[in-house]
Amino acid sequence: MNVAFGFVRPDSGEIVFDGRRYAAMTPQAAMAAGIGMVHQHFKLVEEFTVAENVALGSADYREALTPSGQSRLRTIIRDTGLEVDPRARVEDLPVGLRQRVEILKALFRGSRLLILDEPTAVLTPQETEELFRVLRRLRGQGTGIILITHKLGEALDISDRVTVLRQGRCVLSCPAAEVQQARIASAMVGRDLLTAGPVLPEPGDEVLLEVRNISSAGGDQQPVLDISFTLRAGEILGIAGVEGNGQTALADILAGVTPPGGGSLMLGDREISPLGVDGRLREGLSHIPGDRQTQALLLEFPLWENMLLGRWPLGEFSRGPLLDVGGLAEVTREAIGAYGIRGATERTLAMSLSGGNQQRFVVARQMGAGPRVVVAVNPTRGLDVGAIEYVHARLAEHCGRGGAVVLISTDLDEVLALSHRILVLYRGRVAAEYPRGARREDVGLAMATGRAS
Amino acid sequence: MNGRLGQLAGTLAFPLAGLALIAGIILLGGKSPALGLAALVSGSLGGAFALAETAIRACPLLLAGLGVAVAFRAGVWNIGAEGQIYFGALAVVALAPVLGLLPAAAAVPAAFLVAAAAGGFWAWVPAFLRTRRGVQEVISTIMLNFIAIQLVSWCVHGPLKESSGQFPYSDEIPASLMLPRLLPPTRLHLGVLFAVAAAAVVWVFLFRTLRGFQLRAVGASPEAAAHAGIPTERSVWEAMAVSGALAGLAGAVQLMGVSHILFEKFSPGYGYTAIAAALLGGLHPVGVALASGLLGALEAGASAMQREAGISTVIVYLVQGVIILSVAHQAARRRAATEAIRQRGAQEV
Repeated sequence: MNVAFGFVRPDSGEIVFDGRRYAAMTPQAAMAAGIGMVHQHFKLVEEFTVAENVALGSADYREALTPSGQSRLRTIIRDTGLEVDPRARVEDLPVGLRQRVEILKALFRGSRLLILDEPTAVLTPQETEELFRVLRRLRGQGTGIILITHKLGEALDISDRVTVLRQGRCVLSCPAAEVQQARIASAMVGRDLLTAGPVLPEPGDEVLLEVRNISSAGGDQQPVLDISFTLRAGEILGIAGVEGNGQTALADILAGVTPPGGGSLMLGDREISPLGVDGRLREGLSHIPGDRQTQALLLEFPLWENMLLGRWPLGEFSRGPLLDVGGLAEVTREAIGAYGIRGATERTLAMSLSGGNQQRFVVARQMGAGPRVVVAVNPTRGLDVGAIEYVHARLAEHCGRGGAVVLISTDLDEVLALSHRILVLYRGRVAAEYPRGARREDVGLAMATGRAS
Repeated sequence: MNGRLGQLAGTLAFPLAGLALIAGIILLGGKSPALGLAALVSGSLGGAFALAETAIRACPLLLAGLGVAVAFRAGVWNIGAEGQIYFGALAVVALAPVLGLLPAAAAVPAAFLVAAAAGGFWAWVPAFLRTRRGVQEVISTIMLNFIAIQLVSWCVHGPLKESSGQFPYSDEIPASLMLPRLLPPTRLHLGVLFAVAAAAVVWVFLFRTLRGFQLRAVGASPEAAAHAGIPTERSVWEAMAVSGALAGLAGAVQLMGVSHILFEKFSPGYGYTAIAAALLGGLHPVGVALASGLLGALEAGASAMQREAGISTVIVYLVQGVIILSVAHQAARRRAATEAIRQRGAQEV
């Protein structure tokens, strides 16, 4: 998609759009030709109003802010159902509406082809439904839409045609009506997948982690308020919720990145809230951070040093004052082999791995620390189906050995597939609790409204 | 492999481009470039004397440059090497009457310790201001340079004025504090070997100890370091302390090996040139050593050029400036490339 929108120059081949041939696209040419892109991470000026953001993205921003430009914007809003107040400031809008602003920007510029990159990653199931209604309407009005997603259900739900890319190649392309989910999944991975996700063993009785009334101490993100739960041996506790409802604060408190403002954390019979990340790892709590690029890895550093980054608290790699470089290299090679990170050695730089392999490495590193409790935050975000299956299997295996997992994930399907119990986080509080096998609609509604149905 | 070769070519390009630039400027000034360059080269590389001059000029640059490299690796922008150099030298001169009582074998190490502590203290101030008060160290370290320089100026006009009370400089330090000459009659002194050893120690610290790794991790990504439980504040303190101590040692070595007295303008900007040496050397101890050698050679050659061809030394500082700018440019481009990879990673599906 970076090639289509002109961010990256193709090494060979050409792009044909609307009868014209382009050897290489530029973002300017793409916009002029009528290609619009909605990025996964929005590119909006938060202090500006909706209308001003739309104007900024248009070819002639002065014209866009005149009465006639504004009435054109209102017409587009009415025709497409992208309901949003043009005078509202973007910073006051929830994520779902910000996405509408991005789409409006593209349409206002006269785009006839929309490329949407993982548009549903940040939406509740209800918001996703609304988005799809808008997209169907746009399709009816003659707009072409390319939807990039790793959620198979969605792809089949809304698309007319489905194309599967694997390692840069097109491996499947056919009308959506003619394929099954399983066929697409196996095309994405290149082999048949386990059908029903990992088999979860029954949890034991021993309580590994007891969280009592923890709250945030402050900070600029959504705080958590008075959260309590227990985690038993062999259990995966899923924490569902729309992004921005306190997941980051909760993960940071559980992992020891920030101290809680109040409450207690018992790991076994030990109070761990005064401990930092390092102390908790020594006590048996390991942490898979939510953003592998900025939180879990040093991109410019080789893998053996990244191994050290996650494991230094255990002291296994120190020889007096010096580092045991040979030992580190060996452990890194073992992790690379065991987790199937192809084409890497201990000297490979973290940034030259694909996202999936980066995540495999982080999971290998944190599981290799021999933890009893794992706190995993969005452990499969942005990964392909094969890597997702792999990470899920490792987490399930961990439970099979008597460990336990707190799975904090904004991907509802992941939480449903992998959890023994589900807590729904809404505005920093636990809004509802569901057992395994809960209906997707019920959990989704609790995510959106904060009320158990 | 390609990257390594490219890097090597880039490193070699600097001195060559620098020489060409010097030749061009001399030509503009209406003098003979051939004569000037000949003096520049023979004054820095031609024979034992010239090489010794290059080495003793490189010596404070290397020590202070290592300090700058440690700080920058940790993401701490210590621009205060100049002030820390003055502080190291000042402490040795102030305590010289006491240190002089020690036997020579103990006096020199004791003086080094005093200088390292003094430089470290002068770096402690901005570390304190940053971690406790949120003051940008870029600003505070520059400001503290002026204070240190003025403090030394006041001292040599006042309490530390030489015994006869006529001239604004300190008494000569006791003979037991003077670093032995290695190759008389050249001025090559023991401090040069000390600086090279320091480079080796800094390499081991940065790349083979846990503390050094943690410091680099904090510099590369404070967020990742925090998520790995590395105390980021402690790394700032440590980096600043090590950085200041090395700069303090640079001052002591210059005092004990070359000048033997303390005076106003004791350092002709070694602390700033050290930043250039650190950046030019890619913040790597071996690179800093090579860059210090290059910059030392330029300074030694510049003196010869002025003596023999009547060409102002200012030209060399101009060339240093150009080198610093192009290094900064390269560093910015590298950062941009890394950022691009990060972005691509984020967009990967």
